[in-house]
Amino acid sequence: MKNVVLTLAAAALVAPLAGHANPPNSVGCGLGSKLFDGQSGVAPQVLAVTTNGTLGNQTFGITSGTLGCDSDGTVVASQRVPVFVAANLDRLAGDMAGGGGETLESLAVLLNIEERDRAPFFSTVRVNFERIVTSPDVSAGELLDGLYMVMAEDATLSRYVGT
Amino acid sequence: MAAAGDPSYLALLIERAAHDGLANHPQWRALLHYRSGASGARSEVTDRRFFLSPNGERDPRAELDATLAAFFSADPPARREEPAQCAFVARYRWLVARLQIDPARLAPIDCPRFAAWYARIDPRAMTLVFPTAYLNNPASMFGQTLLRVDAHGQDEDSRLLAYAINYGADTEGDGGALFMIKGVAGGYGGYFSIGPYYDKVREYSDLQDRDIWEFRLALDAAEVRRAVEHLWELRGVRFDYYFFSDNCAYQLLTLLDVARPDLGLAEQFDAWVIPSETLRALARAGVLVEARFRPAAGTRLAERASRLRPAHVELARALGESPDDLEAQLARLGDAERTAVLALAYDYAYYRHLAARGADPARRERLAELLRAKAAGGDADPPADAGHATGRPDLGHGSAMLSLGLGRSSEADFRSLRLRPAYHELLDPGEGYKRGAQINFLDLTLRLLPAAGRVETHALTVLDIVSLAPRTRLLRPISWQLRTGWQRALVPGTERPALLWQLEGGAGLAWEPAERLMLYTFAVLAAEAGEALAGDRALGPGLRAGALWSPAPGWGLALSAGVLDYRSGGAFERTEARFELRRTLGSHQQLGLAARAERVPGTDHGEALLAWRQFF
Repeated sequence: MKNVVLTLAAAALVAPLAGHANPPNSVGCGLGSKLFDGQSGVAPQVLAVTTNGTLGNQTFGITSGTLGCDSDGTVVASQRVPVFVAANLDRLAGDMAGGGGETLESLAVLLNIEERDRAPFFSTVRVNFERIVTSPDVSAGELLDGLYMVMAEDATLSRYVGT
Repeated sequence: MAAAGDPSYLALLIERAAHDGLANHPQWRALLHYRSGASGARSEVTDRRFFLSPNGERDPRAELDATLAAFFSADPPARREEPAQCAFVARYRWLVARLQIDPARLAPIDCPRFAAWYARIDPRAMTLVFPTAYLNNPASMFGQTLLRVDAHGQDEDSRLLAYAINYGADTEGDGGALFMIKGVAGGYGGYFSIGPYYDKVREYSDLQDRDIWEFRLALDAAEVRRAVEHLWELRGVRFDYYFFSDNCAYQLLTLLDVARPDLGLAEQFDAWVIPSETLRALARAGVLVEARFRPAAGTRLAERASRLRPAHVELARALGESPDDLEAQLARLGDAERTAVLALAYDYAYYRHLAARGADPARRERLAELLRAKAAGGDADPPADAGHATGRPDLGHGSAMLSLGLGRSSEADFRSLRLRPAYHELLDPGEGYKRGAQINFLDLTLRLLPAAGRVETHALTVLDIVSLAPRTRLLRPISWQLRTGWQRALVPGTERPALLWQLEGGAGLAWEPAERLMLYTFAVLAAEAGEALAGDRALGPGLRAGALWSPAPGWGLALSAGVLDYRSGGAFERTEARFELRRTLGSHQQLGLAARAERVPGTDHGEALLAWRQFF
């Protein structure tokens, strides 16, 4: 976990320096995290007894381990979208390709997309999938840039992209 | 010192609190985590920062008086960053209400840091979250609990955006055996924390492959508010963490006791807190309403696979595994088939990617390719909503079991008494437990032999774990078992089974050729020791095989056979066959008929037992 924390922290520092024109709210916490990063997972943890409560990296003050994103365990309002995207990259990419799902639905809620615009949002994201998930190791920041760009070009969705 | 009110008012409040006996009020006791012991009240918090009186840990009244006094100061108390009114916001609000504190005489202080934090969480309701067992890890059946704080405006589709309260040990990076030893012995500090629920879902559902149950709690707005305010008071406060007693499940109960002291949940538990038992305590208290199931990665995978033809499952596996050209292999499929096969192929490849624990570039490329193909396909993904295969854990049997039986063996009639404090065996009522998982702990069987007029120990199993993980077209796990303890068994040269210490471990394969039927086989290595053995000990390999079948709901049948080939010590071979039939009566009782035959060179032994079991 430490590596992830360090990566995210480093990414938070570097993200604002990224060269291309970002919509202002895609500069944020944890955006350097990568798709399919392959954290330790469902390997045969036969004798691993992590069942009964360890903290991991979750304490008051360090959740996503990112500077300026976190306040007493909660995420500051301006960083909810980037922190969510960074933490859920894999699931988001899967939902975007599949045209729906809980994670993409949650992102729609965070982006304040109204109920009636959700279906167009899902299908637009799916149709433009390759412009959003541009490579197998796309970063959260790049994915969000791509998403905002696709949304900005769409008549229905452009109003949800902050300027 | 910045005064926030007039000091003569403090004396009045202290007097009023004493008159009302607030120091012994259940709410005050819950807020300070006091528990009654032989030497009076004592708080379970050991951190000085939590107390305003030097005697606060043991003296509820002194702590109450010191708390009231501290509320009159706008300066932070020792080791705190905020004024007492803000650092102890739940105490403050409760005392203001109980003592009808006059804001003109004790001015409320602004708490911007708390207010901002509270606004971000925006609590409306609470949900108890219970991740169930991992595949192939029966120990994880003991479970884990979290409390989710549901926000205003949150709905079923945005549950991920809620915050979750967790209690856990700060292990300082220790893992495995070291964590177990220090965790059991109380070597770690335990802390409450809060973080996004999606991080927890990812951890349990995806990374650990555990199904999650979510139980909405019947708490009103004021109760939810109090629990969250109290969490603020516990920020960075150290408890002593004990793996078996002061664990997450226990500490979350203390938080719910703060929400509603009448629940009296924590005091129902003492030496040994099993998370699923806390769930049942909440059910008895009537605060569990509406259960929701969140399938783990592996469950979603199995469910998707179950809806496809075997040939398409094989195709999905091949697509997920090999780097061959995708479109060529998909060419013959119709639109709906293509969507379903690709959805499964991606889920499978992703599952394997997580299991591989690495960022293999070839796998990443393949995952991205599968996603592109999914996005390009016709239909949107079919929703993967698995049924509740394992049943609700709050409805499962109690983990302790008492059994009484009548039996007859080749030598004598006997009565049997068995007591097992925890946890679950293969033929126990299955609802709420992982299928194919067994863990028995300190399982004692005594037998009364009326003819001989004596009682003898038949078995004392210290630990008995069986993990049957069926192999499917997609996943090919290895099953395993481990058992140690004392058990009567036949030894060459004796007429009846002798009490031996045994240790046996093995690895094997399991299959589910039909619904409710499981077949398995194990290669084992066994050791035993006892005076009855020539040379006092024996060691050797063996084979075991068996079947588990549930012919109808409420009925369970187990058949097994085994052979152990002892090489060292007194070399001999022991063969064994078992049969057991169980009928479940309600979720807490069973009637069982078991038979067993054993053979070593020169001696046979057989027995049958009719037993009634009560779970509690």
